[in-house]
Amino acid sequence: MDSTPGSSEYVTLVSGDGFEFIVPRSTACVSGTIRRMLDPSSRFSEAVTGRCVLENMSGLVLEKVCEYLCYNLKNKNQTNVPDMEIPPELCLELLMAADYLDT
Amino acid sequence: MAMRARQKIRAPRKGLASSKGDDFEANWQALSGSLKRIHTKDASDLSFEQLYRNAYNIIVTMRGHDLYERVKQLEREWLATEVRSSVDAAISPSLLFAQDALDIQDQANERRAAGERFLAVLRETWEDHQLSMGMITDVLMYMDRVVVADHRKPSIYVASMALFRDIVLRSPVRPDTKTTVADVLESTVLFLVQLERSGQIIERPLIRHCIYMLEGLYETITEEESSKLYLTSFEPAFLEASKTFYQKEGQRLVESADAATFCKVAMERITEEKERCASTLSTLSEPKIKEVLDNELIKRNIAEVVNLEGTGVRNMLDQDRLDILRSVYVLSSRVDNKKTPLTAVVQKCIVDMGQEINTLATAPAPAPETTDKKAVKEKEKPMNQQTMSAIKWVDDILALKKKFDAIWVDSFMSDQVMQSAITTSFSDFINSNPRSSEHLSLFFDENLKKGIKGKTDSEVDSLLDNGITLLRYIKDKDLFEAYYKKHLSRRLLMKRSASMDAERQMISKMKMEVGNQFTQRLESMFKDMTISEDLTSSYKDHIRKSASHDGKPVDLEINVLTSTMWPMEIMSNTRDEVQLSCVFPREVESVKQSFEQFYLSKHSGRKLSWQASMGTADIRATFQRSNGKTARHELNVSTYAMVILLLFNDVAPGESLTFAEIQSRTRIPDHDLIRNLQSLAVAPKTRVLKKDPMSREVKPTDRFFFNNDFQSPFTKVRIGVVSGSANKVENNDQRKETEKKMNEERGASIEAAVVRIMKQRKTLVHSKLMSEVLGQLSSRFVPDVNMIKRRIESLIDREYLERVGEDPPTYGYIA
Amino acid sequence: MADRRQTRNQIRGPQSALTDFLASNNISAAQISEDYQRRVREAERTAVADQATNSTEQNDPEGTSESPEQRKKRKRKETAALAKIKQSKEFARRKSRRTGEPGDDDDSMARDILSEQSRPMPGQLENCEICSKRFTVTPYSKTGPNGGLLCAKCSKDQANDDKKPKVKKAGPRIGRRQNQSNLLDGNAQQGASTLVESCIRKVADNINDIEEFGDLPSSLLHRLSQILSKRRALTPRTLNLFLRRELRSIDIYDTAKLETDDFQKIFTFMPDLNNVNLRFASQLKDRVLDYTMDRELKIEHLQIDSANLVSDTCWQRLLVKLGPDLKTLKLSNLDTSFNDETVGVMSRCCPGLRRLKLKQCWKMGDGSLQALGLLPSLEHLSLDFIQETDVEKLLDTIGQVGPRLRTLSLEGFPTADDRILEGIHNHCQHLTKLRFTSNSNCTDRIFSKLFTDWSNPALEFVDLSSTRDVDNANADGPADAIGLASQGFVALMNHSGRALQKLNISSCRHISREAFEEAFADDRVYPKLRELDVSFHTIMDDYLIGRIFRCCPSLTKLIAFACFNVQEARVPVGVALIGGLKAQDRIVVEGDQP
Repeated sequence: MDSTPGSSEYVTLVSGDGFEFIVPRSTACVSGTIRRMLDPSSRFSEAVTGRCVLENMSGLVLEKVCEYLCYNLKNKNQTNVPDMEIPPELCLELLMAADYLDT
Repeated sequence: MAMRARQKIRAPRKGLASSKGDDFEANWQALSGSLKRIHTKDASDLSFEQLYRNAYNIIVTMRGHDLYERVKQLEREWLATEVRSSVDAAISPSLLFAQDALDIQDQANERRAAGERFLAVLRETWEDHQLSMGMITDVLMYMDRVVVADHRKPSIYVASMALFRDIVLRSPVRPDTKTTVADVLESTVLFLVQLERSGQIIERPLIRHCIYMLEGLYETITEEESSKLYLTSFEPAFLEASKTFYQKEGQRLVESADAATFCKVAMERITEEKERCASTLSTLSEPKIKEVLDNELIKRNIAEVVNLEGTGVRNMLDQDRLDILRSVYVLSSRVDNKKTPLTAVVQKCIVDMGQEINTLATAPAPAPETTDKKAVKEKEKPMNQQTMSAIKWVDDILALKKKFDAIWVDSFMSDQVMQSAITTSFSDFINSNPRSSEHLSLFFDENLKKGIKGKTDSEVDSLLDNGITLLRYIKDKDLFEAYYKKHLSRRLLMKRSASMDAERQMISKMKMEVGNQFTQRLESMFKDMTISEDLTSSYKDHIRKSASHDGKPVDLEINVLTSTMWPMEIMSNTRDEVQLSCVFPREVESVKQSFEQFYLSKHSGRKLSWQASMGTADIRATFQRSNGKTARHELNVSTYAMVILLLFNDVAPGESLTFAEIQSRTRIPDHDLIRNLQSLAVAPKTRVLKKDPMSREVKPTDRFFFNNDFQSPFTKVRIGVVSGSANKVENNDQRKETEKKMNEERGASIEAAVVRIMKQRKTLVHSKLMSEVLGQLSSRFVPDVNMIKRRIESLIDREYLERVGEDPPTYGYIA
Repeated sequence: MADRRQTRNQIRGPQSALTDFLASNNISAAQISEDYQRRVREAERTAVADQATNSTEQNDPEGTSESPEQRKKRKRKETAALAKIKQSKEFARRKSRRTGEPGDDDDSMARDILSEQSRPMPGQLENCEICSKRFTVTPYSKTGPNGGLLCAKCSKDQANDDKKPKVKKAGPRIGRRQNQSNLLDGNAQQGASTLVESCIRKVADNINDIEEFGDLPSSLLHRLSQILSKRRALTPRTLNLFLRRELRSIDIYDTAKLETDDFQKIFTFMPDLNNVNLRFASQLKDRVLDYTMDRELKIEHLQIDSANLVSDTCWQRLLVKLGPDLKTLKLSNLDTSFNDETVGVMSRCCPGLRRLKLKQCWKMGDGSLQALGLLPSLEHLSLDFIQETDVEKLLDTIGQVGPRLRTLSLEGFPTADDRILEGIHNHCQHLTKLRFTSNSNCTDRIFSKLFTDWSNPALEFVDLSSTRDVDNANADGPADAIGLASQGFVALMNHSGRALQKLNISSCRHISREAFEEAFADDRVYPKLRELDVSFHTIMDDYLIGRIFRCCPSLTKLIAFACFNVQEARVPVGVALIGGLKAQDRIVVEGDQP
C-alpha cells in the first residue's frame, strides 16, 4: 500500500519515555494519525525517517496501542469481534491515546 | 471485578501542557511558525507529531474554536500578502488592457507570452496552496474532527479554499480597477483558446491545470457540484465567446467557401472542440460546446450549405462525392432529426434524374448501342426500338437505384429517414411515367426470354430482384399485372421462355412482394399449361389406340386455356365483333373435330373456342426447282400461315391466288391475314410465296404464287409473323385499348369493394367509405376518386345503395 | 418456586427503566417468567418420551457400547490418567499457549493429551478408523475424524478432503446476545470496534473506580455521558467527573438520579457553559434556573427534558434573560408548564433562535402555534403537540417561517390535512429534513403533489411513517389512498432519492408492491441512503429486500419489523437487518453480492 521507494516495510513507534516498537507499516497505519504522519506525500520528518515519536504516551500505553493495532488488523474481516482485553487501570490513559491516534 | 482491590483509576498524566491560558499562545507560536514553513516548502525537518500535538493541546483546553480562527487568519494573511503579490506581479499590463488583439501579430505574441507566464504562476500558486493545505489539514486533523463537528463549520481545507477563491481570485488586480485575477484568467484562457482555434499551438496542459483550479473551487461552502467556479463563471464566458466565434466563422465559410470545405471545417471543429474539452478545458463542457457548435455553426448554415450553387449536395450527388455527402449527413443529423434540407435536395435530385430517364424513354431512342451487336449477330430480329428504350428505362432506373443505395449505405449510414425519403422520390418519378408498368413488364419479358441465357442462378436471382424492387415502387399494380399476364401468355404459348424455373421463381418473388391474390391468375396460367401437356399426350394415346387414322396423322399439340385467366382479348383480335372462325383445311379440320370429341367426352358441358392466331404448325414443304431437283424444307409457321400454305397444295404450279381468294377461302381476319402474307411473301428470308406486284404493302388485289425457288441454308425454317407475336411496346391505339380495359376492370374492383364494405357496415358516411375503399385497393392500384364517386352513383342507380343522409352525405346498403 | 419469588420480592436489585415502566403498566416480570417456565416444563414433558430412546447414544462420547460396570471402571482409570497429565510439563505449556480461547477448561485439554498418548506408536499395527483395514502405523499416519488413525489410502483421501474447505480459523467471537444487541443498535460492521469505543466501554465499566477524567477531550466526555446514561449509571457521584471549569458544554442524557443541588452544582462549577443539555431533569427547580440567571451564564444552546418542577414564570424569566443569546432551544415532556403565554414570551425575546424543538409539552395550544410564526431567524423547527390544534394556525406558521426552514418536523398533528402539505410545497424551498408522521387525513395525491415540481432541493432525511388510513373495517383503505402510498412514494424517491440518507416509511401501508418495484428497479441507485425503515409493510419480501440492498450501496441499517415475508433475505456484509422473523442467524456474508 505504502510501498513508494524509500519507505520501508517496518516503522518505529517511540514512546515519550523512550520505548521503541517496531511494527509493520500496515499495522501502524491502522491509526489514522500515524497513517497521515507517515504519508509519503506529506514530507514531514516522520515520513522521511519512518520513525514516529509519540511524546505524550508512556511505553506502557504505547505497548497496549500496538497490541490493539495488531488485534484490529487480525480481525479485519471478522464479524462479531469482542473488545480487546484492557486492564481497567489503563483504560483512561489508553482512551486518550486512542483518541489522539484516531484509532 | 468486585474481587479486585478498589484501586482508584488515576486520570491520565497531563501531557506537556497544563491547562493554563498562556499555553495556548505557546502552542500557537510553535504551530504558526511551522505552518508558515509548510507554505514556504520548508517542512522536511518538521515533526508531524509535534504539530499535531500542539493542535491537540490547544483543542483539549477548549480553545479549538480560537485555533480554527487563528489558522484562518494566518491563511488569510498568507494569501493576501505573499501569494497575491506573486500573482499580481505576473499580470502584465498587456493582459489587463489588450482586448481582442488577435489581429495585430506583435500584440498577440506579446499577450500570449505574458498570458502563459501568468498562467504558469497561477498554476504554481494553486498547486502550492493545495499541497500546503493538504499538509496543514493533516496536521490539524484533530481540529477538524472536534471543532468542525462541534461548531458545524467547514473543514479548514474547505475554508482555506474559499479564502483562496476570495483573496486570490476575486479581489481587484489593482486598487484602481474592478478587474479581478479571475477576470484576467478568464480572458487569458479565452484568448489562448482563440489562438488555438486560429491554428496556433498553445500549451494545453498549462491551461488544463488552471482549469483544474476552477473545478476545485466552489461558490459555496457546501461544495455542491453545480457551484464549481468553472461552471458558474468560466464556462458561461467560454460558451459565449465560442458562440460569437462560430457565428462569424459560419458566416465567413458560407460566404467564401464551397460546401465541401464547410463540411470539412465543421467536422474538424467538432473533433477539435471535443478534444479541447478533454485535454485543455473540462469534459463537463463537452455537451454544451457541442450544442453551441450545432446551433451556431451547423444549424444556422446547413440549409444554405446543402443548397450551395455548384458545390452543394446536388453537385456531390452528381459527382458521387460519397465522403463529403457523409459529412453533410453527419452534420445534418446532429441538428435535425429529419434532416429537412438534405432530404429535400436529395429528393429533388432523384426526381430530376428520374424525369430525365422518363423523357429519354418516351423520346425516340437513339440507334441501338454497340452492345446490341450480339443480338444482331444471332440473327434475332432487332428489337423494336421502343421496346428497347423501355428496357433501357428500367436499366437506367436500376442504375440510379444502385447509385442511391450505395450513397444511402455509405454516406447516409443507412438512416431510416433518408431511406424513406429516397423511396418516396423513386416512387414519385416512376409513377409519373404512365408507361412504367408496361416498361417493367417488358423488362421481365425480355430477360425471361433472352436476358437470362447463360447466367448463373444467383445472377438471375439478383436480376429478378432488381425488377421486383421497381415493382415495389409502382402504384398501379393491377396495370402491371395486366401487362405481365399478356406478356407471360405469349411466352408460354409461343414457348419463348428461356427457363420455366426462372418463370416460377419470378412468380414466387412477386407473391412475396405483392401478395397471393396478385399472382393467383398467373399461377393458374401455369397450371393450364401443365394440364394441356397431359391432355396432349393422352390425346395422342387416344389416337394411337383408335387406330382409325388414315395415312399420315397430324401431330396435335394443344393448349386448353381457361378463358377467365388468360388475356383472351389480346389473343383474338376480334374486338367484340362476331366473326366466323377460320376455315381449316380438311386434314386439320378432322383433327380438330376428333380432339373436340375427345375433350368433350372427358369434360362435358365445356365449350372450346379455337384461337388459331396463337398457334404454330410444322409443315414439310417440297420445292420443285426449275432444274428439276426438289428441295425440302421443314417450315415452322403460324397456324394461319399453315392454313394459307395448304391452300397452295391445290393450286397448280404457276397459278396464283389473289388476296381476296385467300381471304374468302380461309376466313382469316384481315389484319392477321395481311401480317401472315407479309411474313410469307415480303420478309426477305422467308419468301415461301411470291407476290405480285412485289411491294411491301399487301393489297386485296395482290396475287400470290408458290415460290419454288425458295432458298434457305437451313432445312428447318422458322417463319415468324411480322410483328404481333413478339412482345413490344404498345402503340397508342393498343394503349388506349388497354387503358379502357383497365378502367373497366378497376371499375368492377371498386364496385366490388364498395359493396363489400357496405354489406358489412350497412350505413356509412361518404368520406369514411372513400377512405375504406382507398385502403382496400391501394395494394393493387391507386383508385381515382372521381371514379369511385361515379361507381357509387352507379350503384345507387342500380339500387345496391341508397342515400340515407345529406349532411354529412351518408349511404345505406340495400339488401 | 414460591419461595424463590419470595426471595425476589425481598431483595430488590437496581430497577431498570423498563421494570419501572412495566410495573406502572401492571405487567409483572415475575408473572412473565412464571408463564415461561410453565411452557418450558410442558415442552420438556412432551419431549422426554422422544429423547429417551437416543439419549444414551448422545451421552456416550466414545460411541461404543459398554456396560455400566465397564464404564465406571474406565472412568476411574481415565480420571487418574487425567490428573497425572494435568501435572505434566506438556500440559502447562499447552495451557499457557491456549489462554484466551473459549471453552478451554483444563479437563478437555488434558483429555486431548490423553487421547494422543494412547495412540499406537509407529511400527505397531492398527485398524484403520474408516475402512477398518489393518495397517502399520507410520509417523505420517493421519488422525481420522473420531481420533483414530487412518491407513495410507484413507489418509490421502482425508488430506484431499481437508484441502477443499480451508476453513478460516475463526477468532474469538462475542456471544449471540451481545451480537443481537449490536445488531439492534444498527451496528453490523466488520472487524474490531475502535480502540476509542473499547476504552470508553471499559471506562464506563469501571466508572466507580475513577477519580477524575483529567484532560479527557469533551467529545469523549460526551460519548461517556451517553453510555453512562444508557446504563443508568449517572449518579451524583459520576456527575462530578463531568464538571470541569474549562468546559463550555455539558450533555447529561439521564439526570433522573440527580438531586436539585446537583443541578445547581453544574452551573456553579462550570461558569463558561454555552451548551446545556439535561434530560429527565425531574429535580430541576425554579431556584436552580434563577441561580443560573444570577450567574450571568451565556447559554446559547439549551435543551431540557421533563423539567416538570419549573414554573411558567421561571421559564419566562429565563427566556427574557437568555433570549438575546439563545440560538437553540429544545424542550420536551413538560406537563405542567410552558403554556401559550410563555411561548409568546419566547418568540418576543429570542430573535436569534435558529433551532427550536418543542415536543410533548401539554400546555401548548393554538396560541403557541401563532407565536412561533413570529420567530425571525428560525431554521430548524420540530413540533410534537399534545393538544389538538387548528389547521389554519399551523398553516399560517408554515407560511411565515417556511421559507427559511431547513428542518421541519411535525408530529402530533392528527388534524392536519392536504392544506398543510400544500403549504409546505408552496413555502419551503430549503428543507433538508422533513418529518410528518401519524396522520390519516392527507391523501396520497397530495403527497405526490408535494414532491412533484418542488423548488426545494432533494431532501436528506425524510420520516413520513404512519401516514395511512386507519379503519379496521376496511384494511385496504379507500380507493383514493390516504397517507404516503404508491404515487407519493414514487414521487418522493424521484425527488429526493439521490440525496436521501435516512428514510422512514414504516406503517405507510398503502404503498404497493409495484411502487416498491418501480422505486427499486434495476436502474435506480440511492447512493447516500444509510438507514431505511420499512416496518409493517406486509408486502415486503425477500425479493424486495434484495432489490433494496441492490439499489442502496451505502445502506447500513434496514429496519423491517413485522415484515412477515422477509424470511431468508441475503444480507450484504456490514448491513444490519433489524426485525423480521428469524432475527438470529441473519448475517449472510456475501462477498459476491449479485
